[in-house]
Amino acid sequence: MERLPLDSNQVEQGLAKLVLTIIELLRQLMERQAMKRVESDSLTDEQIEELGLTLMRLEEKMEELKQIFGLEHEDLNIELGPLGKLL
Amino acid sequence: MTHTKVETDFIYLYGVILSEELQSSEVPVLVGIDQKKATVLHYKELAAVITPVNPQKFSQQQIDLQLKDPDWLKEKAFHHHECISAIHTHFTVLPMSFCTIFQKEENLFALLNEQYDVILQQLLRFKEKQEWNLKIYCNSEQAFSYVVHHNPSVLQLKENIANMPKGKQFIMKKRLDQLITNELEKEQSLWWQRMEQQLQSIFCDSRLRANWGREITERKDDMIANCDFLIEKKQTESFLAKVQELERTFSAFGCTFQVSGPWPPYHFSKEK
Repeated sequence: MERLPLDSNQVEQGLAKLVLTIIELLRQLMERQAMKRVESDSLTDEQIEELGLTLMRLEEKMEELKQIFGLEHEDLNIELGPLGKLL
Repeated sequence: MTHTKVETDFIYLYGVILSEELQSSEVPVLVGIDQKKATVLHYKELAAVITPVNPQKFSQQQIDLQLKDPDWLKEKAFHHHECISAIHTHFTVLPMSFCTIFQKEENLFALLNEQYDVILQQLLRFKEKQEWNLKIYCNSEQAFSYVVHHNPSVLQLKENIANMPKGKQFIMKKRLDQLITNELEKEQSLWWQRMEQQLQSIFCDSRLRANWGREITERKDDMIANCDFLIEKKQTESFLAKVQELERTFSAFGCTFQVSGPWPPYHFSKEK
């Protein structure tokens, strides 16, 4: 069970970690969905280009946010006990 | 050989050997798992190597309890292996699982009678043969690099990506990562097939075991094959030489080989 620290200095960091983990999960799901669409040939070249640029910017934005909150890639995860890790 | 069993003792069975082999060699003097001497019980062409054990200390309930004690387990399991190895040095042996115990001699004889043909056939199959284990580890980075630089599908996709616009390039790079992972898995499975093929003429039988994770191996590279081979004693040198040759060939892919043996035929004793 992941607990948020109640120390006022750490609460922002803990909350950011939790929120960014959820965003990262959504980003990865979107990326996978996009890959499926590309592989099924259901997108035009223009649509693929647009989708690719969007995903690229999303990834860049995530990197920026991680830097701002001093988080590493490995930090963006939640331990789900017997189910393993979220990401 | 002295028969030290008292009426109330249980019987701990190490393994079964061929009676005929007792004509040319004697069972080594072994102090049993409960400090009593190991002896032999004959049944037709079979001979069971046993030792008497205290019924209280070796009751099912007590064993289940003791199995939770790592020190007890380590000591007794090591003893079990040591005894079977000592027997295996002189005889063809069908090793029994750790803590194979009978309450009465009659129960052991009933088993030998019921399984007589199967046990005899197994022993005849094991004659002049030994078990060897081969573990192959692979350095992920080296194998990954090999796939990136040599795999035709990967090279093709990399070439195509170079001419794509930025957005499509981003998506195709993700696809490339997936492709490399998949191709690496395929390559490793192909490497193992090639190795097994080259060893085919040397071994009599093989059993592929589950690979161990890093938490068990405590190594930085990954186990990609864990296989037991049943090999004729006279083929031992050829087997070891072939393994060395394979290691020379496959070291370019980041593979390291670890051979252990000779072992009693532990992994060939249970029917498939």
